[in-house]
Amino acid sequence: MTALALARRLPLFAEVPAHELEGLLGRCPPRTWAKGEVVFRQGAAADAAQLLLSGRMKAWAEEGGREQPVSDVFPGELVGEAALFAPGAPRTATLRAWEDSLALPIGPPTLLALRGTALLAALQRHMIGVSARRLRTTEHALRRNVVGPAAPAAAEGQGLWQRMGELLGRWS
Amino acid sequence: MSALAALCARLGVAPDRVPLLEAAFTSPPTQRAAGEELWAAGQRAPAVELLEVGQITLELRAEPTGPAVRHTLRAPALLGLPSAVDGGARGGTAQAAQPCALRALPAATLESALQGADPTSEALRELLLAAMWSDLREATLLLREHLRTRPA
Repeated sequence: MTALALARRLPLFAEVPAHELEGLLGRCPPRTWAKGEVVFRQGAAADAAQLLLSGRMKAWAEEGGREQPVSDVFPGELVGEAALFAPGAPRTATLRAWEDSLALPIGPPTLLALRGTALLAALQRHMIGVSARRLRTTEHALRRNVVGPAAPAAAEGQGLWQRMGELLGRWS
Repeated sequence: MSALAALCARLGVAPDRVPLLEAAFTSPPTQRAAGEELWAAGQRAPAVELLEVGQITLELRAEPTGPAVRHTLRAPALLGLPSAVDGGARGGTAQAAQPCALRALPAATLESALQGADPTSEALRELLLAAMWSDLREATLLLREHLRTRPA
């Protein structure tokens, strides 16, 4: 199946005209990743998000010298989006192809070039929905550490407690 | 520089988006006196709000009758995400710690911005995304640091 056919099957692109998708694929050609291949490493400068068209990827975060799985990535999901909002910032996880995969790299210049298109609107709406859900998950984790039974003693004195509370406050 | 322009600069939103965003926050600033309650935990967030001037104090509790912890937020800040997007309830109670000025992005404007194809809607989505991703990134790094350094 062609990359265009795979992209057109994704729900997030359901209302995007075919010519806009063709333009996107021409601007940032999809890349094949072999099973086990590292797409990006934790700590590396973020340059582009990856929109998975086929296959499966897995994100890992290193803590204390050990890698822990963070999330699975399936077709239609965008991963590494921080590259779009904080380009050049260090990656917070390592991404590997868990199966042979096809992914579309989307960087900040692509978003700029897509202004005024239905494609950008579709990507933005998709990312807002994903971001809101992730904020809720993160909020629960922060809340446990800011107002839970073990807090704030565990984080006090490191400035972490105050900073975590400020984040929770903005989300209130 | 306006509070919105300063916020956009901090979040990495392109400067050419600022005039569009200024036009989207149509409601005039609401002035709140020091000590005034802005919202209570459990309420729905009717809008995304921009804290233009002042400081607010947030009171957070794990349980309704449990001990409270208090945090201070300073302008400029975008308040009410993700509650305004997903309709969830406020997680804490807010009080003006100083005289404050807030500008609201009403729910109806937010709703049309999520669907609209015009440049203002596009710029609003860009601002919301930049704000959410900035918070998510900061939260991820803080949580990891906390988990790494907390006593066993």
